[in-house]
Amino acid sequence: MSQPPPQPPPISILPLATFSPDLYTRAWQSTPHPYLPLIATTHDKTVTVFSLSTFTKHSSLTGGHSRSIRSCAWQPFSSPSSSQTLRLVTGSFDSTAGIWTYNPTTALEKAISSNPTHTEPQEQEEEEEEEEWEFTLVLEGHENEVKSLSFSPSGQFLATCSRDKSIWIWEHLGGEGEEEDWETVAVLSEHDGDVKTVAFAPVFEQGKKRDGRGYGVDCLVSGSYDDTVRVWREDGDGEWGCVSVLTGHEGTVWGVEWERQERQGGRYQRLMTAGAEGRVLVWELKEEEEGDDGDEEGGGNRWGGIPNTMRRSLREEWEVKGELPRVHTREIYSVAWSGETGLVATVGGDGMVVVYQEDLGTGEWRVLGRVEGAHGPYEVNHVVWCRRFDKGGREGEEMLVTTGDDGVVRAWEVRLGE
Amino acid sequence: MASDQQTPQDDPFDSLLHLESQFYTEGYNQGAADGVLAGRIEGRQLGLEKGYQKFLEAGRLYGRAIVWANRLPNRGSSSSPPAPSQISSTTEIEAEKRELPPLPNNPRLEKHITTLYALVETESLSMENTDEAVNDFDDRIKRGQGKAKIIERMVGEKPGGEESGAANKGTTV
Repeated sequence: MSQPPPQPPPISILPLATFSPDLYTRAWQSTPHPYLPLIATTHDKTVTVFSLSTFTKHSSLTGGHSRSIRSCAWQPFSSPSSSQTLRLVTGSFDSTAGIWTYNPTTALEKAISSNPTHTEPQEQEEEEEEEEWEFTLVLEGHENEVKSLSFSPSGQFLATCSRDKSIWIWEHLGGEGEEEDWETVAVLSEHDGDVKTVAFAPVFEQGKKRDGRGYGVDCLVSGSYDDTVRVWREDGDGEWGCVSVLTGHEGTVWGVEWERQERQGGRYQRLMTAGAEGRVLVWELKEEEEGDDGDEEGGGNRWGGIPNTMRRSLREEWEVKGELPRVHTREIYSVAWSGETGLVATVGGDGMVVVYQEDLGTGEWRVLGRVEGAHGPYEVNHVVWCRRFDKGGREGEEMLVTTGDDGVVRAWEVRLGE
Repeated sequence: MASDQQTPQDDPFDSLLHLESQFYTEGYNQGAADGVLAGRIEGRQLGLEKGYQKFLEAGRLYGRAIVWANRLPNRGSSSSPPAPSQISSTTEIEAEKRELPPLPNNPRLEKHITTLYALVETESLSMENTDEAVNDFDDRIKRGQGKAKIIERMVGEKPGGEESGAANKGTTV
């Protein structure tokens, strides 16, 4: 058409709050709870849990690890219910993953009641120090530093990855406290280098019916020092295996992020990967017709009831459908894709936070706005979209939370069109 | 000058004039021959070493797979591995000495052990030196090692191969 392309909406990214207290050591990652107003930040050998309504410290997890804790993940519940145990898993450089449990009713009450109009938060926090998190279980097995972990949306599977080039998948079989039972379900050693990050794909209603190829519902993706991204699935019989290798990055893949919104037409979620060379690629699964793999064992596309020992042909193909415009001048460490607005944010070694939007008509991505020196001269290690629970927030609004080497966790208000 | 036009005066000086290149060529040929020989020796050495290590690992895993497979409680069913002659001799030996305790009846455990057995079955492992065969071998061994780790944890064995009781619960997994 002869009309000029529509201008991207103006965006304001303003500092909203810093979580207090300052952590004074490099902070690595901040993970919001799926629906409770809590966010957990890893720093040094500790995890500090902050309240999202007051931006102040709620509790901390200490003493469980002998080395730096780099990542943590909340165990999702299949349905929000206050009678279920609040569980956080920590991944540490001491090669173990720790499972921590918290008294459920106290956590929920405290988080809800911790709002600025309530006069007691100080007292409650002091009481809280005695409650503490209980270090319930240690998951050992990796040979060296655990870099990242991720829960499957149902909370059934936990994936941990490590510098030993392997990904371990653990299944939570139930039980409480002493009886907690986790079983090692798979040890996947196909990467050629340090595995930096893992992420399970969100599952939408469409995906819950098993797809025609006979795979299970969950899909795991991993990024590694070997410049590749691998996609892993379960064959419905309990066997996990690599179904695709995504090459395209020219450096370590630091961040992988799934599209968190359901797509029209039942198409599979897209994947975004961020590499050390400064590029962020958007991948899409090539949907194939069922049964055209020409299999060795015949009878379906599974790995087969009879153990298939031949090298499995890669079963899926992912292709690069888009790329974010290059803005960062140094490595990109983390990318976050909002499930609410579809906006994407990246952070990296250059200290910038950049927000992008997809043009739904053309599929092109454009930069909406950026913040330079978000944590001063320090590198920003992690970014995540997070629902706002503070009183200034509108219904369902999201904010950005960035975590930096300065030991400060910052919340940013992001508003379009103002 | 053309080689067939050897006038009597050039003959005696030919070798002198081309002395340098003659020595060079001689040296080069000697070096190349030595290099080829040394390369062959080293390559054979490396091949033997690597081949030995790889198949030693494969055999180790295979042996463990057989022992585990035999300890499965319902070994007689279709999920048990083939090669009955091997199995019966193993059980005979076991019966003479001391019986290893059978493994708990767990369908997942069975699946893992069956897969492990199939992966490291030495009869089906290729000994060729083609890229494809080597990759296949490496891939299977790596997957086999991963499987062995899982089975170890389920059975309660420590990586060295010793048992530590059915200790899969408790504070350490």
